[in-house]
Amino acid sequence: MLRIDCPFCGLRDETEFTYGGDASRTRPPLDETRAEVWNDYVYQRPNPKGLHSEYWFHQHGCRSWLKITRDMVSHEITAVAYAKDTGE
Amino acid sequence: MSTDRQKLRIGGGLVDRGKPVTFRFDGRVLKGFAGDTLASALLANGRHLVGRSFKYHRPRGIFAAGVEEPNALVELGAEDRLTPNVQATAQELYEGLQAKSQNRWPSLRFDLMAVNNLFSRFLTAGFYYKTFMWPAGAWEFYEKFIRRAAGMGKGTHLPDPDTYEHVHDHADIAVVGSGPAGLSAALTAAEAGKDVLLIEQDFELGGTLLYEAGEIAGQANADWRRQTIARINGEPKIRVLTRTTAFGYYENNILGCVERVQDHVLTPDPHVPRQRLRHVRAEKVILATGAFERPFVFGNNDLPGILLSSAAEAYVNRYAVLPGEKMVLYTNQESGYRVAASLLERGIRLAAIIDARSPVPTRHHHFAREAGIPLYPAHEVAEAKGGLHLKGLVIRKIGDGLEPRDIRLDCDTLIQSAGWAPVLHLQSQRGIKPVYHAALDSYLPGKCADGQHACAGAAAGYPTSEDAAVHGHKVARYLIGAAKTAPRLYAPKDAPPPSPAPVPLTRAKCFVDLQHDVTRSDIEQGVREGFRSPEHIKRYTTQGMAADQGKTGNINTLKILSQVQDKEQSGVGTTTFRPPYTPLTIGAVAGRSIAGELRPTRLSPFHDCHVRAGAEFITAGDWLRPWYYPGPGEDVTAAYIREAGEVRSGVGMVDVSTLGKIDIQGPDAAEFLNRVYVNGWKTLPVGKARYGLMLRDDGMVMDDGTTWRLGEHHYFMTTTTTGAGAVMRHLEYLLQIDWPELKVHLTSVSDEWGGVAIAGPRSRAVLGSSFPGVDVSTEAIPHMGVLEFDHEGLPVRICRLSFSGELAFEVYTRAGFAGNLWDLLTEGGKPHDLRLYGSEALGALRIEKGHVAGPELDGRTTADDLGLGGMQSTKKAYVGSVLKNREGLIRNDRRQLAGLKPVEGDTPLKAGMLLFEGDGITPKGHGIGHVTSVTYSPELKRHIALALLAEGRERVGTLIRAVDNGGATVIDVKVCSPHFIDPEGERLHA
Amino acid sequence: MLERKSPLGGHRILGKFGRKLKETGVTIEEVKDFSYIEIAFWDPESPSLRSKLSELLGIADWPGPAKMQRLKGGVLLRIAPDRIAYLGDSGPAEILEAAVAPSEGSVVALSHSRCYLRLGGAEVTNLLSRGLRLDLRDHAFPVGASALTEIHGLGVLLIRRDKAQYDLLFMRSTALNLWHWLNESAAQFGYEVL
Repeated sequence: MLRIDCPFCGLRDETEFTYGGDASRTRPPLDETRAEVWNDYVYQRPNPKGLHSEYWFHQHGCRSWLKITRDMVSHEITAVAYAKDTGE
Repeated sequence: MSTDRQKLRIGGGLVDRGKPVTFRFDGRVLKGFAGDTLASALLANGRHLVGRSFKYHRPRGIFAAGVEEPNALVELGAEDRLTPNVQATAQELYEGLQAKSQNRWPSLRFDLMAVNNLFSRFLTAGFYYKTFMWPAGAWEFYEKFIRRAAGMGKGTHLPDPDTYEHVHDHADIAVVGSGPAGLSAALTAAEAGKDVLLIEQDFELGGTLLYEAGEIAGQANADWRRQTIARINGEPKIRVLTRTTAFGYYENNILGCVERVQDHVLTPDPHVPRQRLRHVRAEKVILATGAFERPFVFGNNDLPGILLSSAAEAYVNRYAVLPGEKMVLYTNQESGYRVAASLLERGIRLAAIIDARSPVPTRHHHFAREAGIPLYPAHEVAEAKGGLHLKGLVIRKIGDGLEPRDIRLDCDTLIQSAGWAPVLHLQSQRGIKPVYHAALDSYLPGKCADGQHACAGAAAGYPTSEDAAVHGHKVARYLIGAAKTAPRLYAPKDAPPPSPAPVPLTRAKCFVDLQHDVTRSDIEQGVREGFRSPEHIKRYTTQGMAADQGKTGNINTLKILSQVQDKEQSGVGTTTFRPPYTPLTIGAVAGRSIAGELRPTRLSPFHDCHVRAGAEFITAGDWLRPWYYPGPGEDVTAAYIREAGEVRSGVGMVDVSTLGKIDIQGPDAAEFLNRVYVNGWKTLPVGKARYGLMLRDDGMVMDDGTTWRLGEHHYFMTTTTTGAGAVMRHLEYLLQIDWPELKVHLTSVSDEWGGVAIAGPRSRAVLGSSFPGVDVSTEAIPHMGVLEFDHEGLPVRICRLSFSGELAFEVYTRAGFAGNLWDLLTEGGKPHDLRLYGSEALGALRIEKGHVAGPELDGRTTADDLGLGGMQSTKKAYVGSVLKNREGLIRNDRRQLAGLKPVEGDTPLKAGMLLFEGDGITPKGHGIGHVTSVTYSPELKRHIALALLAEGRERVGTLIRAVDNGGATVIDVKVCSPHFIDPEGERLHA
Repeated sequence: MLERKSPLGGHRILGKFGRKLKETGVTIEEVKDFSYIEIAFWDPESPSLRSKLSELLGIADWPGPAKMQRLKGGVLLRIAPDRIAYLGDSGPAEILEAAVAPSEGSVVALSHSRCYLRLGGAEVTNLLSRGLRLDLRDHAFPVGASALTEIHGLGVLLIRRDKAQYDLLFMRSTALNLWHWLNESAAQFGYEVL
């Protein structure tokens, strides 16, 4: 079971969170009309054996979206920050 | 016939003679004491024979004194508390305990199934892959008999009368095991100010200190134990959990433990759980789990009367029971002599010592001579002899070659010590593989310590209680940061002499796994057949797969693999350890999440009103909703048809509280809505609501709902019942991650407001009667208009919108006043004959109107598919606006929302039926669409359905077929508009 | 004056239940007619807003994750980086609603959405460890601390009022589920519904 150190709430069990997908992508601006750009955003994902940047939502806590770096093999979490602060 | 005689009970020990206990085994009443296990009490009464083996039904006796026991499995308890395969060696004895031996018929002493022994040639490794294969169909016939012949113990199908719960523990240090290392570590950490959780599987603290002879810092083990426990009991920083097994070691340093709260009482207190599953979260974990003794492999090494030497010591010193009258020791270790000396202290002289080593250290020769015990150095036991119990041994000089001279020794008990295997299961579960140390001829943990955990004492290879206590102290100091040097695994200064474990030449069965009846020749056969790795051998022979998970057999198997394949032991590898370390009840895992608690149900604030009105309920997602309100003699069908008719012809009231409700505030709220909905929101005036459709980024419809503008920067959004959580997450994702510049706050108000829909031609009249003095005219509340007012203290929010297609209003109040609102509306509804309707009728009404809901919003439909394409703005960008135009999503042969009318009006359709062309050809393949929602239309008095049909709009007027049961049912249907009634929406403006 | 109906309805029965021990281990009391309001800020750091509100409400300091602030009639909690919550009597609630301008933040009254229980007794922390995964040791969750968390997947707000006293708030629609869990888990300690 993962334990995530929420910057606001502290160390909490995985059961308080829901996974929010790959965080290495950035939403294209609203006026972007090219389908390929949107296609990449919606469908293309790297699948690293190693560190992965991802979003987790603290659903049963402060309801902050967090950006987390997690190793896909060992599950070790090496970084946690508010998604808002990471200026993506 | 009962007996008071515990003929093998001796003096001393830790049993409480002041608390005698009566119990039954195989129907006989026997006596023991508090502090006994079932096994020690059976032995005290002279009962060695406790079961019959799995495959061959050979007689089996008590082998060990702990959880490594492979033989003494019993059925404990009766009726709804019947538990099979309970280890008698780990089961605390209690007053009234009832147990039965297993796997035998008609009795232990005379088991007919022992005939299997005669067929043993055909029951070797992997026999089930090779036998009972022909004829092909006959397996099901064989299976019935095989199932009855195999298996151990019988469980019960009666419901479990006990409760279980989960507990979450937090500590600075968790110590697993309370032997010398664990006790020492716990005290060291606590005295340094740490919160310590000490976890012990036994009902007493002390581990080996409970029976092993030895000294710690000049004090006898027993005295050191007593003193240390007194210190621990006086230490507020140490929490002690006995009868608690740490069965799993998980990520993030979490230990899974099971506490056996009431497995030692006949009638558990119903207010207290029987067992607790404890999730232990500790900063650091110390594994002071001890070591298992290894047995030798020789002929008939499974006879009752053959035990591990440490078990014999435990029975004598802890339980005050003599394992037998004439005992022989077979060893290749120092520790064997320690046991011999310990027994001698108690006045028990061994009849002989057989030592496989050559040479045997001089001091052991001295000891044997002084004690008057015949010693056979460099000898092996070739075979044990006996029927239902050990009668004697055939021993030989090792290296006698092919013509051995057999020496026959008479005895009734053989105690053996062939080496030690640290209990490293928990560390291994964390992925740290054990490592073979040739000097010790033992597998040690992969590492002694890291930042999160450490192994201490015998688990790290330390042989004596003093070594273990010192190591435990060092380990604790390191983990709490008081010492910088990492503690180490045991490495003897001088390499000890080799401890040979010879395998004799004999035709008798040499068992490696007692519980699964796996012999040395099975392992050899497996290797011959090509199964070489330990993982393959394990599964092919089933060695190590029984409930004891090979605790006394794994090492010997690895040794045999090394010998047979002529490989270095270190190159053989081990199998993977997985939790649980010892068996776990499913009840403990389930805890309180059973029956109604498995999936919590949410209740509407109007729930009691529905109950009073006689509603039948149904679950919808998380919620319990009123399904229908049965009139006298009505079933659901009769009820919903009536209810829907009442709505269309008069007026009805339905609870809509389960819809998701989100409070949206902020200067950028309108902009935000504009970005997430397909239609425009910037011009929605205060006091009006709008129906909205939300797409996903991939262009598919995600959810729909209505959003009301309550104030300049204040909106009230509703979503579908089941989509609420996902929509909220989606919106918060957008605001926090993608558009943090927007000033919008979202708050779920699903539980703050409760609401009903009043629908039907007389709905306005009902509102008028319920809220006299409030203007409810069409000018005051136009279509999609919002009205907020306070009625005698009741806060009311009304929006004129319709799901049913009739003139309708959604009326909300704060949830705690739901009952008041209900009463007000029912009173106001009386003169207008207001009726109640439930979710079934609601479904019928919306299907008649062709309004989409869950079955149509299945995540694979676009707005265009649903006939809502026109809602999508062409003037702005919004979530999904680009990808919704991908070629595949704009083709006109896509499955579109359509209406279906069975040609025979009284033939019902079923949701999920596949649709095929009406061309008469036998339906094959996936068809051209499927039925999504069905109902009997009270208005049209016939069955109708909504469907997703390829080119549905083009096909209006054509005949197709709906198919079910793999083609067995074929129904002709006519395609029509999904808006079966009032397609112009005139009723909305009644 | 309309009475706000409790979500527990007839399921809340007063009296002593569970194991009969010398000391009742847990007490459970329902608090009714409370105000629970959430205020979210555009700029949670804004010093001028904080000092304005602090003065208005008479609190010593701005609430933090482990420090609730007491005021007359209630407490102010920090439940998220950009959100505070008021819990208590209705009086101060009105002041708050009036004091926060739309340019500063938004106010949402949620008093009807929650069920509010006050838990006490020598075994109360022990009881909570049956459903809550939080570290409730004194140093980890001291008096004055509050946390949004969950019990069996149902969201709760936990406030430590005293060494052996907690406030537990949860959604109205899930109230009976949590009520049942509480009663079942408390039985082993002997409990009293006040």
